[in-house]
Amino acid sequence: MNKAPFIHTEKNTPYIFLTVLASLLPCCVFSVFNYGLVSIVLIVTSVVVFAITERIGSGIRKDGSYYDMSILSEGVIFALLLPPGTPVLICMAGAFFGAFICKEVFGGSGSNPVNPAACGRIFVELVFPSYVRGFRDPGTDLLGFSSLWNGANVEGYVLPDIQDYSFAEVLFGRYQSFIGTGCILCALAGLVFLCIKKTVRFYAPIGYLAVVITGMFMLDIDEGIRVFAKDLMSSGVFFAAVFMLTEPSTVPLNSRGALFSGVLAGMAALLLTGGSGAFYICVPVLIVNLTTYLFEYFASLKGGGDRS
Amino acid sequence: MMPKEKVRRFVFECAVLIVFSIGLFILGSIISGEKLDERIQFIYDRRFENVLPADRYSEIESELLSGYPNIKHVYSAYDEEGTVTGYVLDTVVEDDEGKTLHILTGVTHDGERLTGLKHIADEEDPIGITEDEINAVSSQTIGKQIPVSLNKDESDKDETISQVSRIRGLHDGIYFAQAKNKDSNGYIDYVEIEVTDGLITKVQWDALNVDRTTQNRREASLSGAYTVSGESWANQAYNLCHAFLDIQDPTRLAMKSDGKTEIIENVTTDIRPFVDLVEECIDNSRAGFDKEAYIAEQKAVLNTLFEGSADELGVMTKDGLMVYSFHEYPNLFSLYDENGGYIKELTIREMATGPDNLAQEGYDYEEEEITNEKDDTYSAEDGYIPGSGRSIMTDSVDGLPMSEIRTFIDGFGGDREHYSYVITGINTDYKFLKDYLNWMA
Amino acid sequence: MRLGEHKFSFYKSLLFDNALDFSGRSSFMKEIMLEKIYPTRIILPMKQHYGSPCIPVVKKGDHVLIGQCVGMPPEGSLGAPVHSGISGNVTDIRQIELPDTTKCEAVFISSDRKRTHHPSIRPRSDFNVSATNVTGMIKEAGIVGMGGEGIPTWAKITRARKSGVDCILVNCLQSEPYATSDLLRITDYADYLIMGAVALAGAVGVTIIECLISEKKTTEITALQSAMERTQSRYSGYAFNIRYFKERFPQGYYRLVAKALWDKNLEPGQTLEETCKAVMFNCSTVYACWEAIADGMPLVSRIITVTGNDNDGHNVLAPIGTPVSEILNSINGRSETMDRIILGNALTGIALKDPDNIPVMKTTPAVTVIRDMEGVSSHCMHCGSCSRACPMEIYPSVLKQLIDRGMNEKAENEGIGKCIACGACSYVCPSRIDLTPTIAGYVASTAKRTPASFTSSVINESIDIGSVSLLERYNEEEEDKISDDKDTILLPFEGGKRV
Repeated sequence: MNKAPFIHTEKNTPYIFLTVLASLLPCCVFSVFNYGLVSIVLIVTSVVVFAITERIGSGIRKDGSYYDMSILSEGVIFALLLPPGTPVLICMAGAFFGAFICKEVFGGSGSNPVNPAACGRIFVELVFPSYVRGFRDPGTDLLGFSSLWNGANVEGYVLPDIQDYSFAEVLFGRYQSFIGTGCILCALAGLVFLCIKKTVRFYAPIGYLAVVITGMFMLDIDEGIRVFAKDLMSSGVFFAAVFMLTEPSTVPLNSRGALFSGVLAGMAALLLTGGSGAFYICVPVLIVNLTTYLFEYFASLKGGGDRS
Repeated sequence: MMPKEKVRRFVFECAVLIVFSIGLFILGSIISGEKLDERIQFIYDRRFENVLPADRYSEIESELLSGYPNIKHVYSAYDEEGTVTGYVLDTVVEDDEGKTLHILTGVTHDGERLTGLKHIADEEDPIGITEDEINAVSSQTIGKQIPVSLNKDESDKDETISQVSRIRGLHDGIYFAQAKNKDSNGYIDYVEIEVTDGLITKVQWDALNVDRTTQNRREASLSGAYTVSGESWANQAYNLCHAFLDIQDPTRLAMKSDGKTEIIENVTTDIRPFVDLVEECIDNSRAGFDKEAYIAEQKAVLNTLFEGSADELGVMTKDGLMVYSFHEYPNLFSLYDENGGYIKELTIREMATGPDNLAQEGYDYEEEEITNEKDDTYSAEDGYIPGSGRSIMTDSVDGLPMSEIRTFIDGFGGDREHYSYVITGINTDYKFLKDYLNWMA
Repeated sequence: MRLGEHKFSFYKSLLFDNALDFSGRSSFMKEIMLEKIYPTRIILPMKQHYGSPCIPVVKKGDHVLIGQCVGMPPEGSLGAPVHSGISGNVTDIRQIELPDTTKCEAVFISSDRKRTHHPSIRPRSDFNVSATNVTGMIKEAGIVGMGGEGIPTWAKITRARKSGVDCILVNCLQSEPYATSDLLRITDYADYLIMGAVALAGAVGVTIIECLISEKKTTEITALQSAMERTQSRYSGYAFNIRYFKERFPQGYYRLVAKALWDKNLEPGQTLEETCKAVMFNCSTVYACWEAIADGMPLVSRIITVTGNDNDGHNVLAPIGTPVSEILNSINGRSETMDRIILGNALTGIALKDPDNIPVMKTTPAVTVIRDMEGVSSHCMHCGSCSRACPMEIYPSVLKQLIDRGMNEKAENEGIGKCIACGACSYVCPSRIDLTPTIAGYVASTAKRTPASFTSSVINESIDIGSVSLLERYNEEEEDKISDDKDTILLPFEGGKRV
């Protein structure tokens, strides 16, 4: 290393992902307080499976034992996207799929074409749909863990309409949702933290949020601003924007491209309105990931570096 | 790597984030907490009001549910004072092809009667039951005892004539008879029958304990506090009652001198109290002396004896039954002739209406031809017919012995299979509640 | 600085400005007294500038005095003479290899500890000199661009006159981490700086003087402003301006100045003079010019920042040619043998292996000692930090991938040639990928150059086109010299004394 430059920023890869991990803390705290034991078990399981898979993957690739922390934040994000009644085995299956199929197979950290957390989540949604419907009211059965083995009793159970909840409940995430996506304030706290830390790029999230919020506003405007606000707060779009569309590897490098892919993702989210929560949150993320691939190809391998 | 100072700073920032989130959570809980229960109750109320109206509901988390995969949720319903008034069960019945039927049922707190039945049409692959069919079932089951069985389909039966003998002269209504003295365990037996169209359609045998804190015999037997040889007393009594309904005549129960009977499977207990009391009930029915009158006379007797009302004496249960053993007053009900010679023991009815000879008269029978189906098309899933001559112990509905079936319904046209799914749902709920109440006890 | 004053930056985006700002990273207070170093020996490489190497004009055993010329560029070539910064004996003349792998002859002089000045060095007494004379004095003094570019200043003046520029820019935008040598010149010698600028403006033939400085350098701004106020009255014909810049690395590079001030993207080969009608001089260069004009002192010493990420910083005034080891020893800056010693600043300098035999040169603003605390490198995770930090707006991560895969043509299309080897991409890369060495190395190899630093890159940047033009114009100017004697300027003297 006798080559310039001789100093480097302290914002190295582990630091960046540690800040992402730290920004997820509010969501984790809320999930633990809302859903108790199962939440802790799901988060820990997911993180451990992600980490072990990464370790095995890097062992197989023989690219050293260097660990960035990306795998940890992905593990946490995946877990936070699960409903409280998810069995631990399903969580493990999804985490393994996300970490191994979507990340390690492609060469590990930085080489993954898609967001592992989103992919793992969609995987369990598609393959084990009945196991990821176990919603329940926050604050109930904090010490119960039977659903971790058997899954929750979900058949015929319908999620209560979000509009039945009070504004305060929706604002503070006191409604039935995935363990970590309920409280918009947590996502916003994460956003503020990441903004202060300046460790991630927000072009894609801006495009995404602009389209989703506008679209949702147009759809809900007839029913009033309260309906719109509740829909927005409970939609989980901020969670996706702050924690998933900022994943560096899978969002276009180019700011204009990132903005555009964010817009595409926003439109996809609007098309999926009313669908399953997991698809609503994760599919737009995958769309950004896939456009990233195209963008990288067209924007970087042809023409000059256009950035303004 | 990061210098120590940076690490410290980072840890500090994380701590700030955590403290912030905890603060936010507490704030959120305070602001939204009150609304939560209100909203949940509102949702429950909206869902359950047609099934089992109550002041509030709460979901039951029971390990037993794992044995009942078809039962998705169970809620207990409470009245204003917080006592359980019943249960709401969220049940999904599945057929062989994976089609489902989603129903909500309300059951009374003792797990005996259906209070409501509602079809929730949100199945992904519905069995296809129509609202008319649901209504047909619910109109015949709501308010009735469970479990339930379906009578044989009228459409595909060969009509035959069969005969049933019934005791002549029974008046319709509910009749009641109670032992005057407690048994060795402090129980006072009572029997209640219901007569419809001159036919005994319902009979219940149980015993109250003089110690008001002790459960009645049926509950005690279910909870294991009261044991007899063989099957639980509750099951035996149940089987006996059904056998009796079948044959309508206590004299045909083949009671031996030791009080046992051999013709009813699994009934090994002493059936004498039952036979005596059911005979008294039949006599009451013949005399038109219904339960109300019976209890009124009981009160009158107590009143005379103690110069105080039953309420004041504290011998009345909340169901309005008297719990008093007259064993300390052996002569209270004795009838003597002018010479002081003992004639007989008077019943409560006789205390009220004067001595009669109904008990000695014996029964008058009438043979009646009723339309019925042939047994060769009989299916265990379907119902059973009083007086068809079948052995009532050999078949079962939804895994329940026929003896346990309390209510039989007719389907009004439509798809019989559809009815059977509803009934399966109800009976599954019954089985669960029976287990659950046992477990609770 | 007025409130609401426009602040220039090469980085135009409003959102998420990620450009590097090292102003908070200087490890020491520059107010610390300037320390003078009297080395026991100096090594004077004959090539410390852009152009042809000098030819030694002394021989082994000769006695030389301070300010005595020891090397002259070949007649008619582009170069700058080299002078001795100490008095003593020439002990050796032999070839050495400079850190940027340039090989050239060097004159070794050991000090006699007498500090005798050459008789030609005396303060100027007449005020009226022609522009050509000024240029000649600067040429004689061996002054080159001291910010690192190393272009002989006389050549720059000549080219500027030829291009008909409108103003001169005094580059006070030292933005490298830890380095403060230029800033010290500004605060301590602001008056001379302004006067030197006037002299240069006169030489170039313009009346507008613009000082470019970062808005965060408030002390320096104050010093410049008061110096301007003091000088303004005497030079009413000149307009002094301060242009405020956002604190950015590497804002001082001429292409980035062009972008910030005129929003023009200079292609390789385009010059400030022709495209923007301005000529830019480093503030240390301007001061050196003033010293040459007023004192007759050639460029024999300069302020060098000795710093690093783990030691106290010093600004030392050292004779050009002082071996790095002597500088470090004199301030106890060399603590561990494991430390890396870098000629230049931490981002663009070149690592030294033999500090005893490598001297500081005219173009060396700093000597940096880095304690190795860096982590290992990992996979690129496409975070885009490098492209956001890149002042030339290329995609270093992509370029590196292309080069690694041998897709050189695509890399060229992607603008790899724009790389100025500033080191920003490697600095910000969270995965510690060697982006700058790979990209700058590729650029150097394709251009048959040997740079791994900003310094050499800039020099070489101009070689392709610049060398020819500079020489040609110089020659033309030489021919004009005699006929153009009327073009006189009044030097900023007062009553025969220096202000």
